Amino acid sequence: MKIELCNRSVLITGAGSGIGREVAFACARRGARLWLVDIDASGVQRTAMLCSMLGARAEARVVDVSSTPSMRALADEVHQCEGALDVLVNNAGVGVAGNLVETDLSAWDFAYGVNVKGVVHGCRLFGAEMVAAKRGGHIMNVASAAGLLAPRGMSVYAATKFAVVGLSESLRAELRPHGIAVTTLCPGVVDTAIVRNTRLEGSLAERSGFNERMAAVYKRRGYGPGRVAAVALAAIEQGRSGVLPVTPEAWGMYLAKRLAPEFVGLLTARGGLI
Amino acid sequence: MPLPTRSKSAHSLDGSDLLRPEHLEGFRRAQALAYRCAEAVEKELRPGMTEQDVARCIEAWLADHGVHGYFHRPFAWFAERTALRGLRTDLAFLPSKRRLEDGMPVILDVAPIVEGYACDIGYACKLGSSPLHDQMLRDLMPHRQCILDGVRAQKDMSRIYREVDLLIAQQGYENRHKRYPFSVLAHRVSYTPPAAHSERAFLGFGLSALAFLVPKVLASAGGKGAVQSPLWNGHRRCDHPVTPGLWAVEPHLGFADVGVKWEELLVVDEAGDAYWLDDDLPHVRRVATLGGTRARLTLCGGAS
Repeated sequence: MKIELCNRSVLITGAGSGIGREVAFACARRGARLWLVDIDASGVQRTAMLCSMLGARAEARVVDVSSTPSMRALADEVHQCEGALDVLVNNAGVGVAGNLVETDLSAWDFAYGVNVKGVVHGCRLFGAEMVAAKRGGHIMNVASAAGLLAPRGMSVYAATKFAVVGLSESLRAELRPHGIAVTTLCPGVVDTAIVRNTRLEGSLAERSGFNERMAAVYKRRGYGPGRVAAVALAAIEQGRSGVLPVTPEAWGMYLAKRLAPEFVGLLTARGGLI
Repeated sequence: MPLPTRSKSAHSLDGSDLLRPEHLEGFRRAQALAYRCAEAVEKELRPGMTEQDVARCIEAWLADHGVHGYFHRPFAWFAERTALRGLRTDLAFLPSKRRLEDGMPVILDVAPIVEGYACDIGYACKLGSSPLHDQMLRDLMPHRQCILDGVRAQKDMSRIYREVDLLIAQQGYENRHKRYPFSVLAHRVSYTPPAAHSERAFLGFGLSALAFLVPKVLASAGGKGAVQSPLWNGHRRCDHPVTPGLWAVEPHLGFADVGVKWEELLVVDEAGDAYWLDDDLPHVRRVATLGGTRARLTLCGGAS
């Protein structure tokens, strides 16, 4: 179902920086009514301020998407003010890197809480109201190219993103009869804060300056979050459902995994973060 | 009448040669004059003027004040050109026939040479009111402290460049100084004795400026240990602390179709200490008068 965003309600998690912030700006330029959510108070307030400078109505909320009561309270407030959302963007995510056997179990809880439960909370709480409202809509879940192909050193992160790809596939089939499109956005190497803030485990944590070096690689790659946001907005406005890789390497990983999985397996055994 | 001849002592000075008080005072006067020019021309801005008209106003004002030579000739940018949007080639930086309309942001960038002292200023203003423009002007100011702190901490130039980048991203803006030739955040300036100075220009840059910059840029390509680059960007060539001398520093932010910048001279001495040549500049003064939203900002290095 195609959507014109002018005067439509859009909620974006992880809107305090990176892709979430740029999606917010793109929606603001189109006149959407915005609910912006992040655990980073100054970041999300800043996004809301700049969106209002673009002429949009923007509400900022500081919420931990992994917290069931916090997300329920958010959903109650949004539904009281707006009714059902028109567009939901589950973008909030955290990075974890390290060999699986060296990774502490707490890292799994941490990543699962934000990357999977955060998406589940959003889909359940806001999706239910969208179904009840019978107006259609769009849910965009931001996964990753690592949700299509898991390199060495990224088992935790990849597992959570594979989960998002999987649950979105199922959700897509469930919501299709209700006119609600479900897109799984899979960005590749994009220059955002997630790399700098990635939690390192095991031997990776002992490598001084690893986050900075990886962030520099992503920066040199030169694919900014604004470009991802442009792809995301086009998908929402055109009502495109399905898995949507963003960046050439994400497309490459997506197709290679399908066409030559064993060859890809050989490559990932040799290369990765570690 | 004999032609003026180049004296043996009439060579350009740069680096720590410029740190003597009389030279610093010369640069300070040049910079102050350039900013007075920008403020005066701002008062003359009217709807319908083109960028070329405004550039001519700048040149006329400076000529009336005895200036005929430039490090680079005046640039005037309106609207989305203040964020350097749509500039496909470097020639597109030159003033265009774009007409000024109410509500448009404006940037005046001029680098006169005054009694041999080269300066380079960037002045952001607007015609009419714009809360976004005011907010961006406020958000430019933490960069002044960020850069100074980085230099005083003897961080590599490339690292300071990345920290400025990080602050820009945190603020929600785009780094637009990366669109300048060589993606410079700053460049060195020099003193050229008036007798040795040429008033001719090429692609907007004074021949004296090119004669100063180009050989050093080429020589610095020889890697670490060779001549230090007179350009400050994020490249490996800048993996060293800021070299002594005077630097024209110009962070440039962009958001939507609005761009803002300031540009002023930073003094770096041989002990690695640094200070802004002059604190009595328009962008420093006017932030105190800008009201409205105060968003919390995170400075370089994580301090707020």
